[in-house]
Formats: sequence, structure tokens, C-alpha cells
Amino acid sequence: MFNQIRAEFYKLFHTKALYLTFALILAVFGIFSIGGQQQFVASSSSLDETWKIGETVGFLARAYSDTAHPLIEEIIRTATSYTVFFWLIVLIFSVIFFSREYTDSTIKIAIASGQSRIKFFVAKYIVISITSIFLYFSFIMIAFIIECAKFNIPIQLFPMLKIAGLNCMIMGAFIGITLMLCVIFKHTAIVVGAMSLFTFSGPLIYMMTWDNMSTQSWRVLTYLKINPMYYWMNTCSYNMINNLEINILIYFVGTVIITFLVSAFILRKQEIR
Amino acid sequence: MTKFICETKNLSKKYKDFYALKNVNLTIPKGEIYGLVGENGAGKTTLIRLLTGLNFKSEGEIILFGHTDNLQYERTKIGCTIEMPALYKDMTASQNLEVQRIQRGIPNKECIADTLELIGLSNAGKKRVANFSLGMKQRLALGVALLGEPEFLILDEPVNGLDPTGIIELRELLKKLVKEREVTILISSHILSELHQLATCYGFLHKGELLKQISAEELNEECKRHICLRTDNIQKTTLLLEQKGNINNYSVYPDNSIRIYECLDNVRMISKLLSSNGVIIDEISVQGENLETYFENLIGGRKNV
Repeated sequence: MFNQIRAEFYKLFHTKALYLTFALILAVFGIFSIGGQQQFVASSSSLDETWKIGETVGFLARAYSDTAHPLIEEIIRTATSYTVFFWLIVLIFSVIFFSREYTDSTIKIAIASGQSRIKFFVAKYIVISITSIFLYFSFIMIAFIIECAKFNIPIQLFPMLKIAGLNCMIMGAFIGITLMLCVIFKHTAIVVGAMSLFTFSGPLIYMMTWDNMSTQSWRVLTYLKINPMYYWMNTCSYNMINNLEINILIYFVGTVIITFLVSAFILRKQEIR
Repeated sequence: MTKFICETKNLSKKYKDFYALKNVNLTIPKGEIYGLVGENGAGKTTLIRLLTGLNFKSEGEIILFGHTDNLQYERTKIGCTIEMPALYKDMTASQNLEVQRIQRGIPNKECIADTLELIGLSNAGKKRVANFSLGMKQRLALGVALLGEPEFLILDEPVNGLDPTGIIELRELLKKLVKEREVTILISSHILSELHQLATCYGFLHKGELLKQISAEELNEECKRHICLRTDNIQKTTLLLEQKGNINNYSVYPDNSIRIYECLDNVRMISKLLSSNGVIIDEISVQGENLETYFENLIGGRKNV
């Protein structure tokens, strides 16, 4: 297993996928550097457009109630908002890094020389997760520190680390779903298309329904609760409602276990073309 | 120590109602180069895929290194190339080998340079595999298969894309591996003349069935140019051949045919000798085949059954 993980890291550092990911993250950082108030998509129950914490969900960057003295929660919200693009970046990175083994048929060599299919999958999951989470974590921490420095606000690491940790768990679940679809479909375009629809429909539905969730049908609620963006929308908006931390932990553990079991079952039965 | 590196017993692969392989009983002795012969769609690649665990058998048994269980572990002793070379195109030749070295836990880093030398790609340098010719990719795929000194090499159409020099080099390399490392090789190829120069035993696949397994000696014997003779009286015929025709180099086969390996240009004399002594000749002809014609006759014969 250790050898498999080492081999995956070696592949990672010698393929285009990582460098493409770096380039995309730099582009996101470029957007962050532009400055100004940037609400990408937001929904608020308050009418004064101050985007109050707890009354708003969305991707709110620099939506400060006081532009001279922003709250630490608003800075955290800003640092995490830009990572809306990360879901697409991580999706593309995961799919390219995983599915290329099928498209280039290199998975054949691993299986035919006695490598375990399950270890192969787990090693991929670990390497993709570590890389994605490291890049994600680095980005939001850098953005957080820059924003704190800009407003001369003392850096409070604990609330930021808490949000970062929760988001990393959501990302772990997101990668699990993505890799499960890669195993099922083995086709880059299908997986990217399906995951994009699934991922980005979540926030849109949630923004339409978040202030009257209790009236929604079980179908809508189920769709939202299995969608990683439902959880991320709340953390990135600093909307820490209804034991969100516990819900994210349950979502993370549940999704990782279920996607692993499904992927392992399919991999064991799958004929490699 | 097991005599056979690889065996299959009644191995079948079925897709819905179609048998891609049917009751294949294959035996590959240790230290041999086993040539798998068959036309497109005969089941060669399916058989290789079953042996390497890429596809799953529908029926039957696979025995690797004498074991039927834990085949995944047994496959760690196998090196293989299947269909097109499977390589990481963004990487160089040495990087491709390095990935496999790490994955298989081979401690010796020098094996990379040694393998590149062995397959003639030492000078490929920093060129990415995406820019390789098909022949270079084939060589590299072989290099990947050779890493870790496998006991059993499975090569599916390894000469595809190789130039004549490359084919000769590959042939010499495989012979060397068998001689020096006692590697057993299963090789499938459409280029039967090439296979004929390499293999020490053969398996002929046709429409998913293994028609025949034969050693190179037996094949050469069967392909040898000879006069094939069928008469109504074998004893009298052989007596006449020896005493009056002075012909001693012949064999009598179980199907009551006689193969004469001399006087090939004097069929008329033999015919006259037998006829004048009251032997009725059912068939007399000069025969002899190469691997292509042998195979064609083999599958042609089956077609007429």
C-alpha cells in the first residue's frame, strides 16, 4: 500500500494534472487580488444588503458590514468564498488523475502485475485528497492572512482552522463521490458533466429554498443533504446553523464509507478494457 | 517444483450467448517460449486477459505456478504487455519505469538504467513517451514488463510496430531471457514466420477453442517436406520400400499414412514400384508446410468437420 501511494505521488509530480491545477489556482488567486466587493451568488433574508452573518448564504467575498473594520467572521467568509472555484478545479484534477489510468490503459499493467484493485483505488483517493486539501487549505489560509493584514486585524486562527477543517471534510466527501463516478463511468467527460450538474445545482436549489427549508419536500431536502455544496454553502457563509459541525462529520464519514464500498464492489467485479 | 508455469482446465469465457473461449486446456511448461497462434478474434487476447486477471473467467480453472488460489499474489511474478503499450504519455521512458519500480517495491534503482540498456532506449533521454514511435513504445512496454525480473512473461503482439532490426533484437532478447534467467514466455503474434523462429511450443486457437498444442520439434516434424503415401497394405508397402526401393527414412503414422523423407523428386519411381507389385495406392503426394500453411490447414480441416 505504501509503495502504491509513493508511486501515485511520483505520477502526480510528473504529470500535467498537478501543473494545470496550480495554474487554475493561480487564476483564482488573481481574482482574489482584484479586490472590491464580490458577491458571486448570494441569497439573503435581510433587506438592507449588509449580508449579515447568519442571515445570508452564498459566495460572499469582501461583503463587509463595515468596510474599515470588518468582523473576523466576514474575513473568514471572504477567504472561503473564492474557493467556490475549487470545486471545479478539484473535480477536473481528480477526474484527470484517476480516469487517465483507464484512458491510457495503464491500470492494466498494475492489475496484471498483481496489484490489488482496492489498494489501487485507496491510494488514488489518498493522494488526490491530500493534494486537493493541501492546496485548498493553503489558499484559504493565505487569503485569510492577507485580508487580516490588510485591515490590521489580529489573526484568530481557531475559527479559521475550524472552518477550514470542516471544508476539508466536505472536500474529502466530494472526492469520494467523484472517484466513485470515475469507477462507474470510466469516462472523463461523463464524470465531469454529471458532477458539475450535481455540484452546482446544489447551491442554486439551496439559495432558493434556504429560508423556508421546513416547507420543502423530502426529495428536495434529500437532494440537498447528499450534495456537498449544501454543507459548504453554510460554512463559506459562516452560517453555522443546526449543529452543522456534527452534520458535516456525519456526511463526511457516511459519504466516504458508502462511496468506498460502492467503488470497491464495482472495481472487484469490473473487467478492465 | 512445478513442471508447468501456467495451466488452464476447461477455461471458458462467455459473453451472453457467445463463447470467446471454450474449454481451453492449456499447459505452458517452465522455461519454454509458448507461441499462441490464432487469427483475429480467435481468443488470444481474451485468454491473456483471463490469465492476467483483467477479465474474469466464466467457467474452468486457472493454475499459475502450481496454485489455483491467491492468483493475485502469483501474478506479481508475471510481466506483461497486453494489446497496445500502456504507458504514461507525459513521462519519459525512465520515469515510466520508475513508477513501476516504486509500485512493485523494487529496491534497486539501477534496474532502470539496466532495463533501458536492455531494451535499447538508453538514448531516449528526456523525450516524453507521447513523442515516441510505436516501436519505441513497444520496447518500453517490454521494459516495464521485464522490471523486477518476472518468472513468466506474457507478450501480446509484441512485434507490432517494430522495424526488422527491432524484431531481430526482440527475438534475441527473449531467447537470452529464457537461457539466462529461465523465464517462461507466452507470446501471441500474427507474424507466424517470426513466431516460428522463436517459439519452442505452440498452441493453436480458433474461434475460442484450443485446437492443438504441439512442441516445436513435433511441429517441425509435421511440417517437414515428405511424400505422403496411403495404400491398402502398409506392411507390404514398407517391405517394398526398404527391400526394392532402398528407402529407409520414413515413418508410419497412426492414421495409416506413411511419410517418406527421401527421394522427394522421385515420386514416379515409388508409384511404379508399388503398382508393379500389386499394392493399390490411395494417395501419393509431396507435402510440407510452414507455420502459416500448417495453421491454415489446421483450421481449414476443422471447418470441414
